[in-house]
This record gives sequence, C-alpha cells and structure tokens, in this order.
Amino acid sequence: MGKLKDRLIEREKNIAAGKYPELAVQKEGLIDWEILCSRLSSLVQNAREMARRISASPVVREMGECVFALFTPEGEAIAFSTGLFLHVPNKGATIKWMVRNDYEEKVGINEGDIFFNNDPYIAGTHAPDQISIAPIFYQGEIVGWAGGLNHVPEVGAIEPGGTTILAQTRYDEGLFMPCIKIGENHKLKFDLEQLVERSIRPSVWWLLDNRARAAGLRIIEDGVKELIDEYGIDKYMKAIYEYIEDTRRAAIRRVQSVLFPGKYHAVNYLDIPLKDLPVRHPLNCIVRIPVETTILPEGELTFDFEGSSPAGAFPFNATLPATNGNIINQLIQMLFYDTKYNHGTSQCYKLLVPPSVINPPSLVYPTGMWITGVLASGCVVECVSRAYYQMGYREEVCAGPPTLPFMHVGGRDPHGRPVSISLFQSGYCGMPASAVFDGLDVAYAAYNPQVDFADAEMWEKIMPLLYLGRRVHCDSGGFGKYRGGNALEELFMVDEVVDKFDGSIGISSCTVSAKAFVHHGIMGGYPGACSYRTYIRNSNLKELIDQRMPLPHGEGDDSTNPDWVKLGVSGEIHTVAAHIPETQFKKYELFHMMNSAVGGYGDPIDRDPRLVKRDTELELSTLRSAEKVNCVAIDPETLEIDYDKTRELREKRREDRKKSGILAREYLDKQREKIIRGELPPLAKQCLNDCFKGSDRFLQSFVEFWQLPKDFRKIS
Amino acid sequence: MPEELEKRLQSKDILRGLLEGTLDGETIRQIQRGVKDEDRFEKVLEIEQERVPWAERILVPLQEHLYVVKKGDEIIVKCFCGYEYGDYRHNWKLDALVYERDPSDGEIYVGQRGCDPEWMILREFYCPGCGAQLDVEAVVPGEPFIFNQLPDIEGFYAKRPSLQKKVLGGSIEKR
Repeated sequence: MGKLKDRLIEREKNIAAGKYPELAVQKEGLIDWEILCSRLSSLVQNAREMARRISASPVVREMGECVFALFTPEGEAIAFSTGLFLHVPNKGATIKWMVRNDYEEKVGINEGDIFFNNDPYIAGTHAPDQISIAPIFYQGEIVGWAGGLNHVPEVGAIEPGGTTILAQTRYDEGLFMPCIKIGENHKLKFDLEQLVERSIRPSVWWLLDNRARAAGLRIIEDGVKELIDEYGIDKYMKAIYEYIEDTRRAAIRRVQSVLFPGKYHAVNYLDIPLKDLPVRHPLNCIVRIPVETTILPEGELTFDFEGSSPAGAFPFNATLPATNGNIINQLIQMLFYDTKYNHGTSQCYKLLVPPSVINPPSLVYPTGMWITGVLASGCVVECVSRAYYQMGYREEVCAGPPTLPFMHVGGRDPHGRPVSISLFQSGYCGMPASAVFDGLDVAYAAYNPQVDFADAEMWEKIMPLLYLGRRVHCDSGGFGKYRGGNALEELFMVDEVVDKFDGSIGISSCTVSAKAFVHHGIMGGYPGACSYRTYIRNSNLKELIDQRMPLPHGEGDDSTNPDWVKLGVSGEIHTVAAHIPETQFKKYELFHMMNSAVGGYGDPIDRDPRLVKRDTELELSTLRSAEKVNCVAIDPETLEIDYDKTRELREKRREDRKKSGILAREYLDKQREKIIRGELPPLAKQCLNDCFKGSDRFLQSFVEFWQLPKDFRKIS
Repeated sequence: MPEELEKRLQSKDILRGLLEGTLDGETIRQIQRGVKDEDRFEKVLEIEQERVPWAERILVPLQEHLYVVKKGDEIIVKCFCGYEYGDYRHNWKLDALVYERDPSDGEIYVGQRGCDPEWMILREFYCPGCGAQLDVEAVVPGEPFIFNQLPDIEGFYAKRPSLQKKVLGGSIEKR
C-alpha cells in the first residue's frame, strides 16, 4: 500500500471514530494562524483570477465558471476560491479516487504531474466540468494538492454545446477522461491534446482551459512552497487540518444556533418529456425527489432521500458527487456563508441517498443535465428555510433555487469559424422569493452565485445569432406575498445559415419545467411559471428590416398575443412546451428563449399593494395578475391603487376560497377511491409505482396516509 | 459593523419591522450581513405574542399565519385568526380546506405558463377560519399531503431551561 493510501485510511478511520485534531497551532497564536489561512485563500483566489484571463471561453472569462482549491494529501479541501461552490466536495473526491485505486503504484504520482478528470461518477457533475489536479511536493514529500475546475462548453457529445437532451446513455455524452495523467514535469502531454483535438468539435475551449488550469495550479504549488519555507513544515502541516476542523466545529455551532430542531419534509419533481424527440427509446416520465431532513438539538443534520425515483434513460440523472455538491452549494449559501470555505462544512451532515435518479447504480446512466441534483438541493433549501423561520431568522427564509435550462448553438461564427457552445446566460434565472423581499429578477445562477452575466455583444462574436432583445419576462416569477424573481427572456435572429455537414449544426434547447412546475413556492406562494420556446420558420423578418419597420424585442406582456404577432412578423410560428433537439435554422428565422422563474413566498393576497403597483409601473407584472392573483385594484390609466376596492377584492377572495375548498377529510376520501380504482393520470401512476418499488417505507406511508388496504402494492 | 449599528439591527423595533414588512431593503441586507443575534428566537416570540389576538402561549411560530401554542395540556397548531388545527404532531393540512386546481385553468397562470394537468396539479390549502392560503403543493395526483415540518419542541426547550421557564413556567412533559 502506498503512503498516501495509508494516510487516507488513517484519516477516515479517525473521523469515523470522532477523533478530530486539536487546534494546537491556533492556540499558540490565533492571529498568525488566521493570517496563514488568509494567505492560502488569497493564493487560490489569485489562481482563479489569473486562469480566467488565460481562458478563451466566455463561460470562464466573462462569467467566471471557474474555481480553484488547495487540498490536504488525503484530498480534503483546505481553501477554496469563489466560483462554483458545488465542487467543494467534488474535487477532493478525484484525489481520493486516485489514491484508493492505487495510482501511487499503478500510475505514479510525481512532482510536476497534472491529472485530469471529467467523469462525474468519480467527481464533478458532467463531462463539461473539467478538473485538473497537481500534487505538491516539499523536499520529496507530498504536502497536498492543487486543484482547478471550470466548465468547458464543448465535449464531443452527439449534439453540440457540451450537454445534450438526447443522451440516453453515458456513451452519448462525449469524451470522458477519468483521472488521466495529462501532464508531467509541469508540461501538458502532446498526445493527449491530439486526442481532444480529434475527438470533439472546436477544441479551443478545452485545450486552452487545460492551459489556464495548469497555470493556476502552478501558482498554488509555488505559493504553498513559499509559505512552507516561511512558516516551517510542521506548523504548516498541522495548521491545514486545523482549518478544516475549525470550520467543522463552526458549522455545527451554526446549525445549533440558527435552525430549530425537528423533522422537515419536501418533495420536488422533474418533468421529462422525451417521447416526441428523435431518441432511441421514446419516453415521457416524471421523477420524484423527496427529502426528510432531521435536525437534532445537538446540531446534527441528516438528509434522507429515500423514496426517490429510479435512474433512467435521460440525461437528468445526477451522480452522488453531483447531488452532494448541489447540497453543499446551497448549505454554503444559506448557512455557512461566513465560515471558511473548506471540507469542514461537508463534515457536519449525513447524506442518505439510495440508488436512484440522484445516485445512479451504474455508469451507463447519462448525467449531462443533472437537474435532479439541483432539485434535491431545492428540497434541502425548503427544509432549512422552515427551520430558520421557526427560529425567527426570517431574513434567511426562501423558496427553492432555480434549475438550469440550456440553449446550445452549433454552426459558424460571424468570421466563418466553426462554433459549438452552450449559451450560459440561460443559467441566470430569477432568485427565489424570501420571507422579507421579492426574489431578484434574472439575478441568480444557483450553481455559481458569484457569476456575472456576459455581454450580449460577446456572445454575438462567437455564434451565428444576433440579439433582438434581452429582457425580464414579466409575470413569470411565482406569485406570493413576495414574488419569485422573474426569468430572463431572449429573442434571437439567426444570422447565418448553419453548415449542414460539419457536425456542428443548429440550435437545441433544454426546456426545464415545460410540463410540470419544478420551482415551487413556499408557505402559500405559487411555483414559478412553466417555460416554453417559440421559433418562427420562414419568417418575413427580412422584409420588415428592409422596410425599417419596428421589430419585436421579446414576447411582451401578453403571451396569448405576443409582440411578434402584434408587429406583423409572419411565418410558421411554433410555440412548444418541450425540449428542442438540434434543429437547423435559416437566416432571418427567430428563436425565443426563456430561462427559469422561481417560486413565491406567502399568500399572494397578503402582498403589499405598493409592491404590486411598482411591478406594474416597471412592467415586471401585469394589471391582469395584479387584480386576479394579488387582488389589488389599480387604475389602468393612472396606475394608482384603489385601496377600498382592494380590500373588497381580498375579502371576496377569502370567502371564495372558503366556498371552493373542501374539507381535507372529504378530499382524502375522494382521492382514495380514485387511487383504488386506478383513476390517476398514467404518468402519476408510473412515477408513484416506480418509487414504491425502491422504497418499502414510502409505500407504507402512502398506504397509511390514504388509508388503503394493507395488501396494496401498486396503483393499477 | 459598528457595535451601535449591530445593536440597533438586533433591537425588537427593527425585528418588528422585519416581521411586518416595513423595513427598507438596505436595512434588511444589513441584517443579513450582520452577526446573528443569539436571542432572536426569544425576541421574535415576544413580538409575535404581542401581535396575535388570542391569549394562548406561543411555543414556536410555525410558518406564515400558523403557530404552535400551548392550550391547556395540549400543544396545538393555531392560525392567527384563531382557528385551531389540533395536535401539532399531526399534519395541520388534514384539518384545512383543500382546493385542487387545474394549473391550466387560466386563473393564476396564463397560456403555456401553467403546467399540464396530466403531469401535475396544484393543491391549495386554505384556513377554514380566515381563508388565508397557507400552502400550495405542486404534486403529481396521488402524492400524500406533505408534512412540511414537525418541530422538536421538547428537544429545543430542554437545551434552554431558563427560556422554557419563562415561556411555560415549567417543563413540557415528554409526549
């Protein structure tokens, strides 16, 4: 057994036995200890900022989809830069996998080596999330690892753009390189670069990002050696474990002090409409992700996902590293936002995830669009929010995070060069409503809260589309006392005919929440609106441009009579609540895209009428929803509030609810009969039956709740 | 953050504004960024007790409109309006009014913004007393009611004996 493997086994044994390091170096001198920690954080942050400037990809350069970290020899993160928090546990998992699989003997781990991984079953989330790891040696002994990760927008999948909705196995998702040594003596290997060059579409993103990460790793490696020279190897090697332990203790104290103990439940779903797509195995299904969160008074946290749907032939599965990464990502944002960013936060909770859609039992399941992992974290957010509410910290209560719709483009850029890229700004969705204010519109990417929106002009330089408009999509956020943040809508005109035969063609789009609400509200708030796509083929846009007529910039405030219709755009107009497979478009055709709107908080008729008025003035909301949903009377001419009429509307709504609602017991009786007779929609039956197969506990609770016969096993 | 500002942000007056929705955005952001006051629960409990129109002692505010209160020997869920839902260990939704909404009915969501009712429905839970909308479940037909939260009241108060004495005047019997 190699030395590293001994250390890893020893470390894990100690943690399992509750043997954590004492904070001896901290006690000797707190200020010095903190200064060293701060210098390590600066080192990894510096590596990140420098790597961003080397990358060619707007995803990394403009938007910051990049994160660097320093690890212990056993693969535990000591310091993380800002960026993709969901990889805090992930990158270390790469190291642990290599160590457990005897890389020391079988492959060799030497100074100057660079390892690469994009296999999400080892670490990461999908093929585009690419990790580079380098061991750090000091006087011949390994003292840690440097790691860098960023999202690369093209990986050679069956459709361009890095992820594909058509993937039904892992083998549709592009080039995987699991823990491969891509560099020696600080130099990237030429042959492996040829492998990438010849296996994917434009390889510039991947290859230059490799160099960007390699440069960042070198900064960290050299910086650590200098710090060890300054502080001494003994002090350094003790302090790095103390940072993790100090954070673990801080995380537990945080849970004890701000979350009310108890049991909390949430359930999320994802719609998967693939039947009408050109897939090998047409299917429609809906998958279920429930969580039971237990918070003990001592600060122990457990998340139990029993009852989740099984994995399937769709790209929305999330590996266990991806699920864990999403959860820690949300916990860092909600709970541990002011602790040190290191492995310590991962040590304060237990995760119970059965083989399922959020922990597929075999490598064959595709995971390119790991949305189920986000939904698992959304369940956790809802539970933590309720625990915060009960403790009185209302400013931290919120609805669940948005998931990521994608739009991918392949073709030629304005300079005739082949391009294949995912339009990442579609990840910038509404922010969930909180208990104290509205969610920000178009302001939040759940997986990377620090990220910045890239300029439209930057995207136009590298793809065959031109923006006609980029706006807030009004009334899309979930209604509530505080509304969910509205989604982004974008209207594109296709600029050039895409080349049919070079393997990079067309536009494709993942349309999350097309058939089912995915972004739930909380405590009486509604879910964010469903999403859909519109494209207009064989349009008359060229004529309108030649005639200098006004052009549409978005859908407008009436989706039943969109602006492109009002302004005389004609052609074959398709509005679909569905994913769009890779589709060729011609010049002057249009594509309308919207991303995710998120859930609201509280009863919509508790909303302050002044907020409703403000939203209508800013065209974030319509007069229709003001009256029908929030029950606020606003004069359409002056936009002034009629408070008396508002009081009447709200009183009437309360009375109407008491009339239209039926007693829960009656509802249960009616539903029970339907369940026994099998009178549920086919997709609901399939979903629930699949979950029964995986969980006796869920089946039993289902039978008890609906008071079904004891021998009930499935819905017929 | 200056000590004076921190004290002000943690005062009952400011917290009352937070609960009642009268604070400006910048003050809320300062509260979010500041150190969490360890006695927040106690202060919010006092504020809520002053707000509710009934006399039962609040043990924990459960969610919007709903409270867990001590009523005689029982611990129940009670709405701000006074409607009582029964033992807090049972899902209050079983004593609420339920409306199953077809999401494509055009009332809340227009056009394609509502989901397909063959895939999912909305279950709206209303208070039978005041008609407040307490929860909206977006679920597949057939999903059991979600029991959102069961606070561990005994465990919480056992770690805070002086607060327990203040709120209850004694202990909560193991239930």
